[in-house]
This record gives sequence, C-alpha cells and structure tokens, in this order.
Amino acid sequence: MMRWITAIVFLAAAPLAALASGKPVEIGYVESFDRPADAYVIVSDGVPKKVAILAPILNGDVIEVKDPAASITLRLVGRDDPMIISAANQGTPVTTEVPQKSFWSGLFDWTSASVEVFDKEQREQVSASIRGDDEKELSAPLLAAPQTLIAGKRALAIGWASPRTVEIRVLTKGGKVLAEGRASGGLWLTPVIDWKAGSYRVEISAGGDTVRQTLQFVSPKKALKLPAELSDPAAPTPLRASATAAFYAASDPAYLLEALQYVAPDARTSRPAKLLTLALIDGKRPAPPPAP
Amino acid sequence: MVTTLKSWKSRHPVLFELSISILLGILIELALLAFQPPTLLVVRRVADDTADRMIRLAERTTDRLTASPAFTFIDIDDETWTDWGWPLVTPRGKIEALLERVARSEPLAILLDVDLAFPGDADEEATLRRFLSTYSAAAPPLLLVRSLIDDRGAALPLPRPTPYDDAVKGKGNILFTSPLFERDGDGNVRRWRLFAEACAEDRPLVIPSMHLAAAMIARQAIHGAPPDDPAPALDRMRAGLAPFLPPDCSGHEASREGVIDDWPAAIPIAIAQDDVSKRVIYRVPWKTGAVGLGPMVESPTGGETQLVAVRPARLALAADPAAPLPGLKGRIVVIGGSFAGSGDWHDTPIGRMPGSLMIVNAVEALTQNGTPREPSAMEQITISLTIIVLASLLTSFLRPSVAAWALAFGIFVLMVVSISRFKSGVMLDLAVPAVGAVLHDLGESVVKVMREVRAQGWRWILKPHERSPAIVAGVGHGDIHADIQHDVGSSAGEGGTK
Repeated sequence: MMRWITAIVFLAAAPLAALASGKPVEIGYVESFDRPADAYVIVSDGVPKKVAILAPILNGDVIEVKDPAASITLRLVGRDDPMIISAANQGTPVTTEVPQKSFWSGLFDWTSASVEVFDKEQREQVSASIRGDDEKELSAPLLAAPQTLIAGKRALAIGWASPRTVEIRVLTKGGKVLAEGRASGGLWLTPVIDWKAGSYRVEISAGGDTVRQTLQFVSPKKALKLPAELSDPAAPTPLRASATAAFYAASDPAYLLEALQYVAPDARTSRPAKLLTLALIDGKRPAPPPAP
Repeated sequence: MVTTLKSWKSRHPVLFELSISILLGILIELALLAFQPPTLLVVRRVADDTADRMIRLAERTTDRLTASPAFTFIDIDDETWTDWGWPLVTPRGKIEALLERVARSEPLAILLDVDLAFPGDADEEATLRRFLSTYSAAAPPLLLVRSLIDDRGAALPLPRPTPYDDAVKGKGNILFTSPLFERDGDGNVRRWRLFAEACAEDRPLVIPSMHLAAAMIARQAIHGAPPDDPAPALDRMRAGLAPFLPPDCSGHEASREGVIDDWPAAIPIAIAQDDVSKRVIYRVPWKTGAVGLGPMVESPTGGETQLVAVRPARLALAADPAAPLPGLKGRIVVIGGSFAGSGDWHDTPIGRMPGSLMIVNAVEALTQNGTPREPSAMEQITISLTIIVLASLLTSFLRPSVAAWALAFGIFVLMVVSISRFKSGVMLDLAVPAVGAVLHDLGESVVKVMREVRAQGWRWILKPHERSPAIVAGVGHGDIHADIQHDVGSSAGEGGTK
C-alpha cells in the first residue's frame, strides 16, 4: 500500500520538481517602451541585456528603468492585461506562473470535459459568396489602401465599383458613427462635416461582404503641396478641379479619395469630371509625373 | 459431439454460456474486420471518436516535450489587420518587411502561410519580388504556399502561378509547398496530406506539404543527418518524394506506399494505405491573446519555453528595423494570420484554430513521432481478445445496461493506460473491439428478447405493470426476464390487462 501511495505522490509532484529544476523559463516579451532603449535594462540572472521590442522575458528577470518618466510594457503568459514597469515599481523580479499540467489534473480535466451537460452554441455567420466574382462581390478599389484626406468642413464623396445597393458608415476611431446611409449607383455624399485631423473609418457593406478602410485626415499644411498654376484664377473652375484631382491621383495612391472630392460634385454636368470620377472609383490613376 | 456439449452445458451452465459468448464475440470481430475496406460507417465514427478523445487526453496530460523544435507564430492578429486598414489581400510590402526581419534573425526555417497567388499592389509586389530574387543561399529555408486549381476536365489539378515564380527559380532554400489537409464530413480536420500531385504544362508534379518540409528540417536539426546521407534536409525530402511522382498527367497514381524519411529509424515518415498514418496528433490548442501555447520544450538558446511563442506581426514591424528580431534564433517561424475575417479557421479535435497553428501541430507531430502507426499484430489481437473476454464476462454476470457501463469504464481505463504509447505515435485502434463488444451486447439482448417473445407471444408488446403482485410481494428474481413473465402471468390470471 505504501508503495502505491509513494508512486502517486511521485507522479503528482513530477511537474513541480521540473519547475524547480532551475532552468530559465521564457514567460513573455517586451511589447513597447516610451523612451529610447538605453533608458531600460533587463537584468537576467545578473547579466544586463539590451531592451528591444519582442525581447524575451525570463522568469525572475529584473527590469531597471533609469528615466523617472519612462515606462515599459511587458506581455506575460497567463495574464490578460499587460504589465507596466516604471521607476516606481522597478527592481522586483518579474515572475508569473506558466500553466503546469500533471497527469492527474489533466485526466480530471479530460474526464470532466467529456461529460457535457449543456449545449454550447457554436454557430457563426458564413458568407455564401465566391471570392473574386466581380459581378457579385462588393468591390471598392478606391479604398484598397488607407486614404489621406485634407481636414476641413465639407461633404465627403465615397465611391465603389459594384452595381449593388450598399450600406455606408463613416466612424470616428472610437467607433462613433458620423454619417451613414444606404446608396446605389456607385457614389454617395456624406452631409457636410467638419473633419478634424486624425483617423476615421469607412465601412461599405452589402449582403455578407464588408469593405473597411482607414481615412487619415491631415491639416492642409501637412498635405501634398499643389503646384501654383492650379490656383490660377484665370483658369475655369471645373478645369482647375479636374486638374487638381488628376494631380493628387497621380502623385500618390493614398490621395485617390481626396482626388475624387474635386470631380465627384461635377460628375453629372461635366464630361471630363465624369470620366475622371469613374476612373478613380475603379482605382485607376494617371501615371505619376516623371522624377525631376 | 452434440451430446457432449449438452452434457457440458448441464454440468457447467455458466462456463458454457461464457464460452458461447466469447465465440460470438470473436465471430463478430472477424466479420467487422472482413468489412475493411470498405470500412463500416459505425467503425469509422467510433475510431475517429476514440482517437479524438485520446488526442484530447494526451494534450491535457502533456507538460513537457523532448526532442521538439520550438516555434514562433508571427501572428497577423485582429489588431494588426485593423492597423493595416483591413486590406482584402495581405499587403505584399508588409510581407516583405516581415520576411526580411525574420530572415535576419537566424531562425531554423521560415514558413509563410499566405497564398501569394492573389494580386497585390504592383509596387509592393515588385518589392517582394526583389527580396525573393536576392534571397541569399545562406539564409534560412523559406517555405511558401502553392495553391492548386481544380480543373474538372483534367485528372490532376494545376499549380496556381504566383508573381514570384521566376524570382525563386533555382533557389535551393526557397520552396513552394502545399498547405492541404483533409476535412471530414463533420467539419473536423483530422488528417494531413504529406504531398499534393499536380500537372503543369503536361508534366506531373509532386508538391511537398509545408508540414512535411518543415518537419524534415526540424528532424535533421534535432537528430542530425543520417550517417549514410549527409545531404540537406530538403534535398533528402525531394529524393524521398521522387517515387511518388505520377508517371504522367492522366491521373494514374504512382505507388502510394513507401517511406519518405527513415531517419531516425524509430519514427519514420511513411505513406501508407491505412487511415491511422494520416492522423494529426494535435498537441497545441488555440487561445486568442495568449503569449505562449502548448507544453514546455527546450529553448534553442537555452532554458525552457512554451512550444509556440505567439508574437503580433504589428510588433515585429514596429521593432528596430536595423536589428534582428529578438528570440527567433533556432526556432521555426510561422508567419500567418489569426484575424477573424481571414477565412483560415478550422475545426479540429482540440477546438477551432487558425490554419497556421494546424501547420505547427502537424510539423511538431511529424518531428516527434513521424507518421502514426498501429501496434504490432500480436498486441492488437491480445487487446481485442481481452475486450471480447471482458465483454463476455460482464454480460454473463451483469444486467445488460450495467454490463455496458462496466465495459465503457473498461475501455476508458484502457485509453488511460495506453496514453503514453499514444503520445509516442502508436495509435491503438479501439474501434473494432469496441464496436464488436457493443454488437455482442446487442446480440445477447436480441437472444433474450426472442426467448421472451416465444414465451409470451403477442403479450410481449405490452408494458409490464409496476404494481404486479409478484414484485410487490418481493419474489426476488434477479432476472428482468423472469420479472416480466411473473407480471404478465398474474395479469392474465385476473382476466386481462388492466
């Protein structure tokens, strides 16, 4: 009987014995830090190591923070939230418990998991569409990449290429809906909004398909500089608008949506503006100007 | 002969019943085996279910692995995908930046689990093409995905071309591989494919799977090259796959049995007709947001680490571009996505996981165990006989419902006892003996019912009354058959059914 008890105790204690073997165990990594890397030191078993993003953290490592205003964020196993270390809480060894499995606890888990009493609803939505079918799939090449726009008060034109009725929403980075609507025909205008510099999101949905993209509004000072001739009041306004759109589109694919803003309002009345609007909605842009 | 049997039956009724029962069990087992192939549906389902349970038990009771590679999953997670602006196609510029940083960090191998056949931005494609065309011969092996186009008119699928085919031509350390697995009717992915056959320009091809190629690299790194063949791992794999090349594109398969890698000899990677050799022994379940997954393994740089370190791709790109990424040295790095909209999520016996983690599981299983195998024939026969004798004993002495529970407990104990062998890649197929035992039990019940029907006639269909005088009086029959007879008999004596 004693032999059986000894064997069971030995089996139960085996994982703990391994944990206590003294080998360094990787328990996480450096996620970020807000000062230059030399403001921090990771001391691992008495040896200082350089701090870098994704640098491994071993059980018992000590983080030294030299700058009183600096902090460093770690991600550790078994913790949902990050660990933030600053001058105030530096010096304490970083430890966490790597989940250990013994034979008996595993066997108990497995046995109890095998006895399921309640139904676990495991349904998820699926899209019954073929990827890449242009006739059916929602397509918005204009929004294939994040777009840069100039901040200011105006209505924003948004275009998509599919002949489908779509739901459109423009949201702040925090998820607040600024404008939304249901539209068809490939072009939609938001109400006039005072766009501040910062990130926004646009979502276009139809059926199970959704296209999302980031809109980065920048102040006019930080935007692409227009050539002086495009501001010449002697040139007709529709012509200036088309030329400005062509300039933005040719300069940078991130300015395609900004280019659309200059031609979309005249698309019904001006043939050049309509041609350019359709090209921009299809994600096409004029060849970039040759390098000087 | 009949007289002798009758005499034996009258002298030893219990032993006689037991012997008949064992004989019946053996006959049922032989009948089940004769049906393979084609496998009976019930046998296949029981086999899958028991193997799934064994995989879950092994996963929950495995704390450490020896002789296993360590993995890092560079994860395009939801946050990374949002940061990148939810693109429909993984930006090729980001892929290039990730590959460049990972390759510089001295990993054992890089697995890019992104199908590059989809068109990306032209400028970014050019950047990635340039990176691949200048990829150094001394850099770590890089495995890319080759998807296939099923052509209904052709016997073999076509390899889908990518914009990078010319850039990697002639490079021994860049290889296009297949990420194919097999999904069962219930939606679970239980089996791998070690290679895919295809046809390009009327030439048959064998495309190795990503897990096979990575496992060959890992096995050679852990166990060294075979003494008689010191060639690089990928060259040995190409040689091992050569016999599986179809003779032409007409769909006639080459020999589908053979060994791809026989080193180490105890854990070969082989192609066999049986179902067991294709099973993936999953060891790492997915958990969203986890920093590490799976049991502990030796870290290539010393110490211990969890089998899979999960690192967000956005952080890999945010790290110092001039320095190697820390913590990747000597590991197998998988670049893939776990974001919800990837369409690359799959059900497995240990839960849903992204495709990249399925590849990690397959690489780890092939490295640790080679292809799974069945125990020796003698061992299988012994186990089957044990289960038959146990089932016969139980049905001889216990009520059928109690015997069924006792047998289920016996199989549970057998699973627990054999778990260490299962972990080493030996898959005990309990389906045939288990189904045989159930059928045996069913057969015994049918025989009893037949006797009752013969004794009671049409009255057998009537439900016995609970307040029968025989039961109330506590006549004390242990046999349910006897209870029913008394019940019906007393009712009939009072002039009919109440």
